Amino acid sequence: MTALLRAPLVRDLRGDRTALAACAVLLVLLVLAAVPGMLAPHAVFDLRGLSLLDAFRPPAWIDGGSWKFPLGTDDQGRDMLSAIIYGLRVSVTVGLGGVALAVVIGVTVGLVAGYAGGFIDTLLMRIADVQLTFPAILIAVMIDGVARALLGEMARQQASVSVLIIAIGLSGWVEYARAVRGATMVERRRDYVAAARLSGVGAIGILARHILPNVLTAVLVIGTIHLGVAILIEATLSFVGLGIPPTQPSLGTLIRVGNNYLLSGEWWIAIMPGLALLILVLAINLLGDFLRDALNPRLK
Amino acid sequence: MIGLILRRLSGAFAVMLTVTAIAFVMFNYLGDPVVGILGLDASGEQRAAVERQLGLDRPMLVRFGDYLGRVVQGDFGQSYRLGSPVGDALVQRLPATVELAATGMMVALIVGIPAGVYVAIRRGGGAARTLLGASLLGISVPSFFMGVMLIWVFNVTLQMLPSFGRGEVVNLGWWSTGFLTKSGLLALILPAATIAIFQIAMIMRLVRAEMLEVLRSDHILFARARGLPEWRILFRHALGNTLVPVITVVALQLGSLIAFAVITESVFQWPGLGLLFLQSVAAADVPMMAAYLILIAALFVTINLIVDLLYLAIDPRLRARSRV
Amino acid sequence: MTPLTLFNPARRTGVATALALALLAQPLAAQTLRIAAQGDMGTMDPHAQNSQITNTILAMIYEPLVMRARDLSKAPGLATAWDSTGDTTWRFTLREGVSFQNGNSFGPEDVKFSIERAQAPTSQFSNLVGTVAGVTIVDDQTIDIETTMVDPLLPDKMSQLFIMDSDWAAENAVTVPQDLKNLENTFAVMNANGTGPFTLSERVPDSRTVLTRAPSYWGEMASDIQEVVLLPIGSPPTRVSALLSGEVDIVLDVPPQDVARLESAPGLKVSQGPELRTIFFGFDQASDALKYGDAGGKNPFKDLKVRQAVDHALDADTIAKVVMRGLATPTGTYFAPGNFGWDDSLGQHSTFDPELSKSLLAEAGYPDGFSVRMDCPTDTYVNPEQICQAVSAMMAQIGIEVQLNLMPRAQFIPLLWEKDTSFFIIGFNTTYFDAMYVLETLLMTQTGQDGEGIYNYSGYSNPAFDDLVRKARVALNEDERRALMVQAATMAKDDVAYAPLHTQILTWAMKDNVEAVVRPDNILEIRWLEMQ
Repeated sequence: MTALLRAPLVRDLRGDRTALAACAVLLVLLVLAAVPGMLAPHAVFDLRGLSLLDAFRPPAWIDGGSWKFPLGTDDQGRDMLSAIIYGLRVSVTVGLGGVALAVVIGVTVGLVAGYAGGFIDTLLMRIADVQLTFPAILIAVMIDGVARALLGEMARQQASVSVLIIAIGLSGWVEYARAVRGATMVERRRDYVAAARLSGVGAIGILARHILPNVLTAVLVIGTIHLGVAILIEATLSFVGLGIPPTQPSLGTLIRVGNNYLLSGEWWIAIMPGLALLILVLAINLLGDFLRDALNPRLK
Repeated sequence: MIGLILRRLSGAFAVMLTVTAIAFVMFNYLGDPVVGILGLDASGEQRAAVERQLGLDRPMLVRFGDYLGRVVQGDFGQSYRLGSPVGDALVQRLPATVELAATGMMVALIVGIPAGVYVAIRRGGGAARTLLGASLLGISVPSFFMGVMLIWVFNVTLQMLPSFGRGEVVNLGWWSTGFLTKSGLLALILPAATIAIFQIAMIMRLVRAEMLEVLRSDHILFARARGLPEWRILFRHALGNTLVPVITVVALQLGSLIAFAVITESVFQWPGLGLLFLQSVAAADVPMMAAYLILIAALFVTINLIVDLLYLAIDPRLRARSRV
Repeated sequence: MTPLTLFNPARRTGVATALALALLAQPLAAQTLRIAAQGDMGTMDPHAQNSQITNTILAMIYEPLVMRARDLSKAPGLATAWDSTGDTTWRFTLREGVSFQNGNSFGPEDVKFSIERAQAPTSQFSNLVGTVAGVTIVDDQTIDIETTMVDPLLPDKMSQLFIMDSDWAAENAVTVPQDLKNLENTFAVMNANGTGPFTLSERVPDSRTVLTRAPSYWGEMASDIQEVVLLPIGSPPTRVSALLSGEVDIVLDVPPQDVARLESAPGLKVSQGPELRTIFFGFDQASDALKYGDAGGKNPFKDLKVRQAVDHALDADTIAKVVMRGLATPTGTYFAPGNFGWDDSLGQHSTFDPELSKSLLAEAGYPDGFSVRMDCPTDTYVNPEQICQAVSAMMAQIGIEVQLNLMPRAQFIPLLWEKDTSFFIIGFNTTYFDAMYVLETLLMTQTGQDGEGIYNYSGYSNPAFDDLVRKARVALNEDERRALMVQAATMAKDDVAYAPLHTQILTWAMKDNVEAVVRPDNILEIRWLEMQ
């Protein structure tokens, strides 16, 4: 069944040039994020390699720049290109982690609520309602604040990636739960489910082997869009100072640092990571748009 | 009908209760509740008195009731960071956020809805595709970056608009408004624009998606088959059906609006609730965080309730179903 | 407890004053001075928080007995004359015809009350009155201050002590300073009543503080400014934007990286001057094992060689050049050249020699270095975050792995009070232009008496040093005193009590129509400010 899904999807992809470009860009960015050590020209976070005298160099094509630091350097002498590549990794890690957590929670809740129905369904959906009263970013900020109060500043900084993943995951599961619940409720009335039950397959087996594959489409579409949102949430939290600290910065943290120098002429320290973030999220959103249109049976 | 309304009300109440419970847990177990009330007036006597009052050995439900009672009267305790009552700070900062969010949303609706309609009906046209591309950009740029860019262009380079604070405000009773002074209005432009850009992009895409679906629906096809003029189809039939789900989402968007107002307030140093909240989180000021939680929940629950009731009024199908 | 602060007396007084001013038919348009600074005042209580911006603004409302002339020598304030009438007695003649902003007249009981108030345990100005044994009211214009030991600096200390109205304080239950450490909330936190040229008319914490001109001020003002607004703007680029777009008239904490841009902007000017603030690094020298770090169960900072290693690894010149854009002067001690007690020999920073540092560490028994947490504020001093990051890198070069712990000032200062730190940055400002302040409060062993060592966050303790300082502070002969102070300071420098970095150069930026005198203690003296 999945093979069937793939063929028309890929064909659609090849036909849509924008989506294809977005896909390619995304792949490049993901590779960079996955193995930064191999591709980044400098090991930016080894403090021993830094020299303050290298600070504030402009990008290579401007007077005063050099190709040793193609996109310029920041206020501590770190190479912007390398910092952006490492930053990509942090941003993508947190984004993917958060989405993964949200998917796990949301799909589980959705399956259980949709299949069990009755009291469990009402209870779970009530919880979802409570959470929906709050926008994701506020929940994420709140969870971060709670972590801060619980762990104390130092521990929180060291665990910042985990804290953010939890914050994003906990704040974003509801949409998945709703979609999966809806799809589950439709599927469970189908004949093949009745047949499976008759032949003695347990509830979990039915959920996992029969219903789950059918709800994955919805999850994929929501997930792609959510990934962009998740990365933006992390970037925003880091920009405001609540996210990843500057010792292992994400793209948002880099922009925060660069913001201090925007007015004094060293614009590249903020704009370069900003552009990188923009390209990343844009690519994800384009792909998400494509997937949503391609996988929506009603628009065919 | 009444039953439906009652159900909604009870749902809203349940949500508020849950949120207040979470706030209570935070207030009492995350921070020091005695500090949260006295502000750590360290006199052992005073602490003992409050401890007795709080009855820290009493069952949790009783203490929760206590907390609930105090919250309902507007007493959220003392802010760790400011050393003054949380309620005071909230009241002082509320008007700023409300005015900013309202302005941003108004602009977003006024621009976004027509844009979304246009993009839906002129599908494939050059202008429509540009708008659509712009909307994609609008939701991909982080709002803080947008704010920074706007400051750079309009404030630093062109020197046309102010970049921080509210300008002069006029006090009407306990509300302070920036709408009545020139500097207040000017100061509102950039932050409102920052919020509006993202919202416009979202609303435009949403209206477009809904409109496209509606335009494909059967009863539009029949209307066309009957030979009704296109504009009539658009405004009387299509738009009405489009707007209903849009209203829902816009109401939910008010949530994300308040959220983005938090970020925008930080970039522009807008003295509203959002900036207050961020500062409290950074300082782990638990009483303030708990109060903000309750306040935001109250706001959204109210909005959702109003939308639900409006839905009941507008959508005859729901009314019919409830009568059964 | 009313949730509305709208109807508080401060606002009403302000409105009333404003109305009164309007009725007096001033020929010139009411002028407002809007000040942007890095941080906000923490309180309106004049004895509760010894912080730069709090003191700057409170100095517009409250006044001390002794003030400063333009050349920074002592000048009459609320006292017109003072003289030492005995070894341990200082007699002050008080100014007549002065009243507080609420109408009460100023008198000797107010001085006595204020001095005693500043001695309370919750006061952060106890060092100023640490040697005061008692205050005697001689007559309506005269008071005698008795000191516990010979204190030639008493009048200098009196230049920092704000005088409060004892009746007002009694009426409003603020006879004791607010306990800021424990977040106490008192009437004095949001209300003020002084003898100065401005009254408090609005106070929104973290947002704005508005002062209005008091019509009955006894002193001279260089301008007709009717209103002063303090706007705390934490983010450096926003602060600079506010000035560039004309929304504020003067910025007190100009980030060094924006100086060039401000200098070239039309309609603005930048004023610079040496500042009395020195930046240096402190270590926990008291604990037996590192509280926050890993050195194999020991405390490396107890060893002089380790401290010397840190000292030689600090490249103060490059930090001054790159991080501070030239707006800092590397130094070898913990107070600035403008202070009494300075000697040029103290201004020499140790040579930058990482290799020497590494061998010193090896000699001390740490050939592979160790790891330690550095505590650093983000929103006080100039570019603290960047300095700390640069220093972390410099420490890494010699094998000391630093975990940088950044936090806002509100969390940083309590950390220092509790001595809950192993390695930290700190900036120090001498409040009365005399290095004795530093020697006494920062470097003496913390005995809790006479204000000794109240700011000694590192636990540095050298009895020989303490003796020198005790001798110096009772020395009436200036040359003798200076010699002893230089000797003591050199001893502390050789001990690397703290690792020095640089003295800041003060930069204020303002509109062309504002003439402000840049004082090395970073206090904006409103009485000297001219505004066209």
